[in-house]
Amino acid sequence: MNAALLLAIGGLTAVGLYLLTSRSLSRIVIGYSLLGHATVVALITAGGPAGWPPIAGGAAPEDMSNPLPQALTLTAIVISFGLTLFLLALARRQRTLSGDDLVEDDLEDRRIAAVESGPTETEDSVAT
Amino acid sequence: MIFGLLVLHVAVCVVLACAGRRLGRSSLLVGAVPPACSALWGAARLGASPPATADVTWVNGLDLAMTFRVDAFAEIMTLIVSGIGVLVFVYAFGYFGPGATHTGRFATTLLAFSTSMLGLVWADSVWTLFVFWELTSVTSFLLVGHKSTDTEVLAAARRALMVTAGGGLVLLAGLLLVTGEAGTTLISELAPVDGTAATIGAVLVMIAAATKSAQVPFHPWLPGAMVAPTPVSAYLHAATMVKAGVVLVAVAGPALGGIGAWKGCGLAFGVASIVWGALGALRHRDAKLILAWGTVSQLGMLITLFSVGTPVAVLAAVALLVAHALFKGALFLIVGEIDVRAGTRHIDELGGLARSMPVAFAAAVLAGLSMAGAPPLFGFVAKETAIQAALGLDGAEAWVVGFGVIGGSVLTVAYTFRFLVAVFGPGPETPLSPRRHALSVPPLVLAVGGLAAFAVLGPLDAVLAPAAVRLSGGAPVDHLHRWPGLEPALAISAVVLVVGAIVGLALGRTPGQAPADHAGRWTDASIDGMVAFGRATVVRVQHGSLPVYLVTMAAVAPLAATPLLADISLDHLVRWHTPLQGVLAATVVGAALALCWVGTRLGAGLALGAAGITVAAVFVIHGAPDLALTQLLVEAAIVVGFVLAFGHLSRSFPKTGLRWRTVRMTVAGLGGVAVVIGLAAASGNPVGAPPLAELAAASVGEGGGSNIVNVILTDIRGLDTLGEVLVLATVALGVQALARAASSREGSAS
Amino acid sequence: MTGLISLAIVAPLVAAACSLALRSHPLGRDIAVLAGLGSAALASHIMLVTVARDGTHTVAVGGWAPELGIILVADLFAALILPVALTIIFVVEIFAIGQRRTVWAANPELSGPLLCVLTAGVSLAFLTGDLFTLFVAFELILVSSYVLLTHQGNRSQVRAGMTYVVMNLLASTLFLFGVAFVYTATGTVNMALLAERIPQLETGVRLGIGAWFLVVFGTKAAVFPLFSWLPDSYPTAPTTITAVFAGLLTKVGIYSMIRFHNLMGMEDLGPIMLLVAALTMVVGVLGALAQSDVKRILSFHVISQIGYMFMGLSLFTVAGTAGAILFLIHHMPVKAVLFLVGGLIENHEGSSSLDRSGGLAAREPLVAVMFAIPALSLAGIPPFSGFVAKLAVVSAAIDQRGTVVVVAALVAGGLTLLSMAKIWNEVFWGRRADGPRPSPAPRRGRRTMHAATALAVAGTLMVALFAGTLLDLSTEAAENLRSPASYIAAVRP
Repeated sequence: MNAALLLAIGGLTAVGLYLLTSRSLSRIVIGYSLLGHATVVALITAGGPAGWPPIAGGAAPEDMSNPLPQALTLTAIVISFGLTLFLLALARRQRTLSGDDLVEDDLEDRRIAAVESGPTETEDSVAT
Repeated sequence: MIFGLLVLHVAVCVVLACAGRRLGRSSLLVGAVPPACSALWGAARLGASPPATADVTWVNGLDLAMTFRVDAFAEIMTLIVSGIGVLVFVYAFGYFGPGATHTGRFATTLLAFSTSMLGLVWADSVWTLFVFWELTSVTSFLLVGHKSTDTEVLAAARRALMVTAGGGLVLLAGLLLVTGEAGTTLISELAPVDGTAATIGAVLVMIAAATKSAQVPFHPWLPGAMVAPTPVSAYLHAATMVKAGVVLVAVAGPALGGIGAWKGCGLAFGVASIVWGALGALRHRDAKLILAWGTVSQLGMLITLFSVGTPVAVLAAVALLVAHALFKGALFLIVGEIDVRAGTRHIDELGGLARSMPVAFAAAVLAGLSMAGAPPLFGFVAKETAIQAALGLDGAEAWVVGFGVIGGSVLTVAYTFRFLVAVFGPGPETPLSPRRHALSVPPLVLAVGGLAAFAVLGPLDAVLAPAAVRLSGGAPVDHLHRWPGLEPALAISAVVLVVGAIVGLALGRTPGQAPADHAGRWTDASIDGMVAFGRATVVRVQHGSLPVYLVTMAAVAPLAATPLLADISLDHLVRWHTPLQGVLAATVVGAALALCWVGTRLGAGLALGAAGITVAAVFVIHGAPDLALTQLLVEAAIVVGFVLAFGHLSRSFPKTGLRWRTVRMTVAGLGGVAVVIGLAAASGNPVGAPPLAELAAASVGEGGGSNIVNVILTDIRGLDTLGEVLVLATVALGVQALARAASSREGSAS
Repeated sequence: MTGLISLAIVAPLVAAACSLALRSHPLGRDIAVLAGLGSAALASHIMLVTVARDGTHTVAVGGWAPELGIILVADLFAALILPVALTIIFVVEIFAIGQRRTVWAANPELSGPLLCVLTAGVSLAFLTGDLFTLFVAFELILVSSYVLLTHQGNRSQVRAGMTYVVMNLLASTLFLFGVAFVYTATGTVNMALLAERIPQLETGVRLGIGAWFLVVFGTKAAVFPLFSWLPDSYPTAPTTITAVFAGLLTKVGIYSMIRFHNLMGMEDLGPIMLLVAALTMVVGVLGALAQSDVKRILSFHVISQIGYMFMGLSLFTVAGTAGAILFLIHHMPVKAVLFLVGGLIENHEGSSSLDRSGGLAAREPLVAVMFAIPALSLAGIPPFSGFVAKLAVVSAAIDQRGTVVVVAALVAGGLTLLSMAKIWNEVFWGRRADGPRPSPAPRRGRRTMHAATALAVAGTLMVALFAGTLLDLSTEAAENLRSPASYIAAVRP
């Protein structure tokens, strides 16, 4: 296992999670993007050490990098690309509707919380 | 025959459900047909042996079966359930005048209840009993809530459902424990059990019985259920459903009677209910509530006697069961007739009914005297036997039971006399609506039944004694006596009657206030309390805020990864395969960190691009040129999309509170660490190797391509690629739909 | 048999393509969708009969060896759940056709094809014997559900969609990390090979992977404390969409756990999972009690009921697993039909809010009956399917002396009944508050909706009636799952 890549994965994950948990949609998109990077690097790292491109006849099989994780990674990249696009479309729609790009709280949950205790400060309202 | 009768019941139920609206009030008469058949069958079977049985398997793996066994006790219960059922249907025909609405629905539900109750008393498998037990709770809920537009009615229906069905859950647990210990689910085969599990199970069963039979402290649902139409009160809440708990205690007695806790619980519930119920009956001023509280007391007596479990006590209990069904059913029906004809049942508003309703008065006196235990009525026989049973005990049990039976009898006599005087006593005559025969005949039949039972005690004893033998585990049982002879029991009875009558007559017309329903309010409050507790819980777990949910999840993941820490090893870690990887790693983390600080969206887009390009470079070094190419294309598209979606909003990212940011940072950091630990630990001691050579060979051979990644994508794992394409296509549809929604309904958001 | 397996996946996809091509012909569009969903459902039923008779059947996609390629496995577990799921989708689509021209309908041009894509994803998820293909199937299901949830683009849907999408994106990310862990440790993503290799791993790695996938699948299944996204998102979708989501999507998560955690031998996680199950049951039902909207109440019950299935799984015994499978079979139709009734309530009352409805039983007795039966079943009242399913898991737990979880299950059952009584009292009894009346669906549409709901109710009664056979089959499926050797042997003869 490669410590440098591990570090990259860990760093990308941490920053990605930090941004994903923010209230701004643009940051959420960035966070998801970074998490996507972390997963694909993790997947190819899972396949073993770096090697020659897996072209049959180009190098001996034992010198090649593992092709299977590459194929999985490719699928993962495309899927996460599609989802990112969808997230962007959703964000755009959200901006049209509410004029900003902040994630809103669920109204019904808020209503019940208000019934329960009156309008109190909870942890996430600090986050706004 | 058992199944035939049940099918008949269900079939008529279905017919009534479909045609009830068209049949209107006459559906009540149609509904009387199946109980009539069952009652006739039960009457014809009296004294027959062996018991009629029927069974069909339902779920073999769980020993769930519909097993029925109609023995001596079940025959008596059949007569009570179906015989009184017929009378109640006829009575209801009179109770609901020609203009009443929803009578079809009422008839359907009442018949459904009657069917469930019949199933319950016929059940031999405990699960059969449980099925019908719960069905009686549900049908009772529907019947109590018949006048469904009234909020008080709805609350009462809910209370009855929650207490009885809650008891059902307790019963479920109890039955699982008891049958697990006994090794059978058939009541007729249950042998005496002991042990911790059986004891807990027995106590749970007793508690369940207490909820159904309205024993203190679960009793408030029963007076509450008096908002139901009177036929329901008479049938469910006096004659039959409330007896389900008693029946359960009775049939489980032979197996569980040896467990001390069972008897202790039963006596505690029973004696407390005898006293508290009778005191309630002495204080209330609504004739129906007086009877309901009296029912609580009488049920307490039944539970007490069955818990005692000696042959005499069981015989007394069986006799009282029959007597109570007759006299209490009659009294309820009489009160219902008064309610319909006088328009009230409050004792302060009634007067002169003895003169204006002579038939009802006669019936009430007969039934009342039976309830008080005065000769020559069947109630007298039952009570004499009960006193004998109490006198036959030793030690503390004798004192407790003696107190319950004798004290309870005094109070019973007292509230009976109070009831008769209060309802029928002199006073300004209450105006009445015209007489309806359907209302006055059924109670008279029941009341005269009490007299007749005393008259033909011999044959009746021949029917009741075998039931008592069966319920006391086969022990020989004495006979019922019309006249016990000059024994202590008779003297006690005489004193009880005199004292009780004096108290009752004295209280009869004394003005006063009905007691406040504290227990009922407490029951409702605890139901509402659960709702409030739910609300208190939900605001703690359901913030409605996406970041909180995400942080929760991101915090749980590292928690899940903790076992990996045990096997983490650093031996196999290399710094890098080429130093360039180190540089790239530093660059990508740097770009990522920059994304946290960067202020403008355009800058963010650039940093995002930088991170993506670095990842592509990582791929190149790793020997994955295809990936690198894809990554670059995708990254470019995303950056363009990002700028398009957010770009022309040149506003900074919103600032957030410090505390929340710290939480997020901690969780995010832990998440990163967890992933690193996961990969490091998983690579420590791998148990399998990827089949590289096979892949290469297969790629060239069968796949027909030298680029192995391409062959995997298009052929070997082509299904994944198909899925990937479908995901993209679906996203395209979604983006298009959102765009169209944006253009067509701009601003018309709900 | 190979044809049946392919049909269950491919038929809905073909239908999706056809109905997209027939966009402008409403009738053709509906016929295409119904034909696709119907033939997939039919295929799955035949598959069940075949598998029950002949045993597990596998298809190596493209003919590659299991070490290299993707393999589809129709074992008894998959064959039991798949027909239930596909039949539900089919019935819901009939309801959706009846619901057209009301304000609660989904956009028919999109919802039909998307439902088909989702169906294909569900079939793939149930049948795949490959961990990464399971990921792809999840994404397929999720992406179609994202679009189904948000395609009308109104504000509450976009808000709910955001929560739903981002939560699931994170879950999918964790899934990929999990795949990376597994592949690092074992060098394969084939489940049969994993079933051989994962038990050989060091305890810490093995349990870590197991717990990690609990988080992944647990988020999809909405177990405590990962459920919060569900009640915020499900109720905002059009009724039919919610019915499919509630009936199926969380169940795919539970299904995956039952398969993965049994095959990979994760018994050591049992005690902590039982605790999670107890919390899920109780917190879910408490949440339901606090709500005042039919669809939100039902959404919280989804969570609570998931707890029962999770409890059966967490026992890691044949009886427990069989109970969980039976519960799954019971729960999917019951939940879907309750949401359909929620749709009927909306249609007749103009809203699914408790405060704004009342007295429906007198006006629409059939709707009342169609609510009462699944509601009682949900609360575990006999003789309905919920009782048998609950008895199966609870008695399995009593065998293991799981007192806490048994008490939690019983309490949750009682509170479920309370919650159902609340809906009944406020919607079907009581008085309706004054307010604008909706314009109900056209007569023919209403009939279709009622017929579809009645069909689904009849389905739940069938589950109750044949509970014995279903439990026998579930037990057999559970035995196979509890002894991975049979699964491995089927994949690698």
